[in-house]
Amino acid sequence: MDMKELKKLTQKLRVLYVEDEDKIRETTVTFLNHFFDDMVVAADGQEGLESFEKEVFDLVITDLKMPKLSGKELITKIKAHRPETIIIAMSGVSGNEGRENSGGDFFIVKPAHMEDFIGVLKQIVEQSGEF
Amino acid sequence: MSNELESLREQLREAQETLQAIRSGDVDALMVDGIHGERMFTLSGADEAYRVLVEEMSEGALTLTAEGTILYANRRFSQMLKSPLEKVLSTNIYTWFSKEHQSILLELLQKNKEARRHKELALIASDRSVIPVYLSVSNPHINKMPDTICLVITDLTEQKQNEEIIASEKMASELLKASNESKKELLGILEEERKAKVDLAHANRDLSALSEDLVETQKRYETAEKIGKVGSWEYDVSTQDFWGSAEAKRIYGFPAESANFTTEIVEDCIPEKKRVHQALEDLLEKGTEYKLEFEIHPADGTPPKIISSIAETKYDENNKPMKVLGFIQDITQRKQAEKSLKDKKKELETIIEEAPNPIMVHNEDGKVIQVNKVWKELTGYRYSEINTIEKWTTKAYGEEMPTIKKYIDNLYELKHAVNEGEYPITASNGETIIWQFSSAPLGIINGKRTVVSSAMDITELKKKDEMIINQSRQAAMGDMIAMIAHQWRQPLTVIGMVANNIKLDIALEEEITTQELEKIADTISEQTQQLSQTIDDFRNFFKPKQEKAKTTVGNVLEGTLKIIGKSLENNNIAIMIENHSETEFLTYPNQLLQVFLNLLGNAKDILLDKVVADAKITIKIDETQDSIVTTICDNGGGIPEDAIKRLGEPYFTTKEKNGTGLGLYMSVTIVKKHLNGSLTWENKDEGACFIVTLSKE
Repeated sequence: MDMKELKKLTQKLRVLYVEDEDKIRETTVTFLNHFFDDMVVAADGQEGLESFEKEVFDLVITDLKMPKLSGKELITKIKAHRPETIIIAMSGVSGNEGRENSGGDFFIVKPAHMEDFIGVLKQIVEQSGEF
Repeated sequence: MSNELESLREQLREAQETLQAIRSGDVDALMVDGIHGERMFTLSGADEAYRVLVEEMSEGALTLTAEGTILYANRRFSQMLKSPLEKVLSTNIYTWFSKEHQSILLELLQKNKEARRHKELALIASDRSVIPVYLSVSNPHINKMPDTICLVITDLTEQKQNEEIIASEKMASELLKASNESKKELLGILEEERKAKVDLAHANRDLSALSEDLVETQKRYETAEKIGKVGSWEYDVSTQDFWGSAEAKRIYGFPAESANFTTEIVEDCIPEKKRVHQALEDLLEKGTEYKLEFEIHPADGTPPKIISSIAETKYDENNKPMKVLGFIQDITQRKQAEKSLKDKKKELETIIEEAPNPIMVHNEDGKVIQVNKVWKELTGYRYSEINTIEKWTTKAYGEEMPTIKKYIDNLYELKHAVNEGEYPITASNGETIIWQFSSAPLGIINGKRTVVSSAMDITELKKKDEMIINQSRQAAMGDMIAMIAHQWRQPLTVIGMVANNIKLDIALEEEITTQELEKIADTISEQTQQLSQTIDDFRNFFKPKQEKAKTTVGNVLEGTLKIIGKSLENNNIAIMIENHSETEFLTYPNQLLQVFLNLLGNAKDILLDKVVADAKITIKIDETQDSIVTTICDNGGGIPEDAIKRLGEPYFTTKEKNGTGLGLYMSVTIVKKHLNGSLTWENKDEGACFIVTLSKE
């Protein structure tokens, strides 16, 4: 599956992206826009939770360390409401701690390589072939 | 002497009167003193007796013509002139007098004068020596030679000498009065002086030399008087009489007026009488120098004394010992002082030798006078290996020797004790030990400025200190790296994302516009600036050179938050700064920053450990008249009661993980020792507070 085929499969996903760091959010949104046509962006956990409560998302991509409401708390709340929502946690904390304790389905270490994103997106597409 | 002279003169007068009486027929017999004793002469034998008298008398007698030609002279007169009688007779009397005396003589010999004239004049002998004489002139009216003059000449040499002696005595006694009449001791000395002067007078010394000597002697005596109580004694070799001055008697414990001061009684006071007596005998027999010190037990039962005694022998003209003159001095106090000084010195040497710290005594000549046991033990050098500063510094300091030696050379200028700091020393086994030195001046010993240097072996302490510092530095480095990671994560993530976007565009074969590229370049540049800024912030903190600078607590706090702020933020820990301080003061900003960093780091750790919801750190800066108080409080639940007292000890930690127990210990050390402040802690409300108090000065 090349990049263009992947793009076709991911474009339909409704996505919520939560990140408190402006610069990171800004550049990551540019990246994610290539794959997702329908994406809501939130600047912190609280804002993310509010967006999540308004509409339904197939995929939530969130940072873990955030003021007000942390990524982990957000993930817990999402999984409690709609367990089927696929969640990618992103964090600077590397190693098992972040990966295992985040509560998300996938984990990407910041700074992320393009290949890490592509890999995770491919897994999501393959697991849920019906999209 | 003068009495004798006077009686002779009297005899002569009587003889002349008798002669006159015989001539005029007034008497028929006379009695005179001759050398053979008293003899009575009848008038019939008077002529012969007269002749004998004139020839034997101790005066010079002569008859002259009116012009002064000597008609008759007796032997005594020719003896006075040291000329044979035949060379005296028929000479003119004037030729035997000096020019200035000739006119006086002329006057004396005038016929019309009173019957008997007297005058003191001086004869000039054949050897040109001057003889003081007493001249008596008479005109006897001898029938056949009416103009004959009779002259009796008395030699005054001896009398003159006696007069000189009397004059010198008079002068001496005047000097004595002037100096100190009460000093009987001086009288003793002067008495000796007088005796000596008699000898001198016999040797025909002149008066001026005599009085000069006397003044000199007196001066010497006065000096001696000042120095110490000196007694004098005399031992007469022939009579074996022993004489002592008042002071000598006092020293031996006898009353000053005591007459009972004999050799036996004095020697009874001397436990070592054999040795002392032997010294006197050696002086008399072999001329050995008499100079000794011995103990005496004074006769009055006072405590024993140590005396110093010197003496010399006086010889007569045949070079036979006549008497011994000696001086004694009570040196008990001096001896006791010497002994206690010696004891003190010994005591000091023992203290130095046995002291637990290394000690060296050295002087400006570069001589090491003493190194104690510990010094030798710790360094492993023998005294002979380090008995000069040069040897010691060469062995102990190696290449540093010239610098150290120069430093030590300056120590001799010291006026008070100084701490010199720590120095690494190479021991004999090649190991390095660290000594902390201090030195103090000991003053002048044996004419050299002397210094005592003592050391403290801090090798072990240093090793421990070094270990703690190393460990805490490692811990701090670990913390720093974590903090740098926090700071760098954002810019690195952004740069990474930008790279991802370009790669994705390429992969999706999408076009990248120049505008987009420019934006990307700006982002990368901006982010690298941020990375660089972080490095600067940390590098400032790690600057090896710690310099004092004027700053405010607010500035230092700002710098601290630049480093740790991101880490706190990432961990959802809120920072509340309640009030700021703008007061400038002189401090070590980086060291204060390290303390703040440690305190904020500890607060962060406890807040994360306890998983405190709404975690926050409150920073409050208060100012009093002379200090700035920074209080850093967390809401982490406070320090456990049992840990409050032990907190700040090295290696003590309350952290469950990654605690070294060195951070707070280092902070306390820095605040106390480098910043001259205090760091205390207490529990308050819902957490712990750490209070840094710094002086504004």
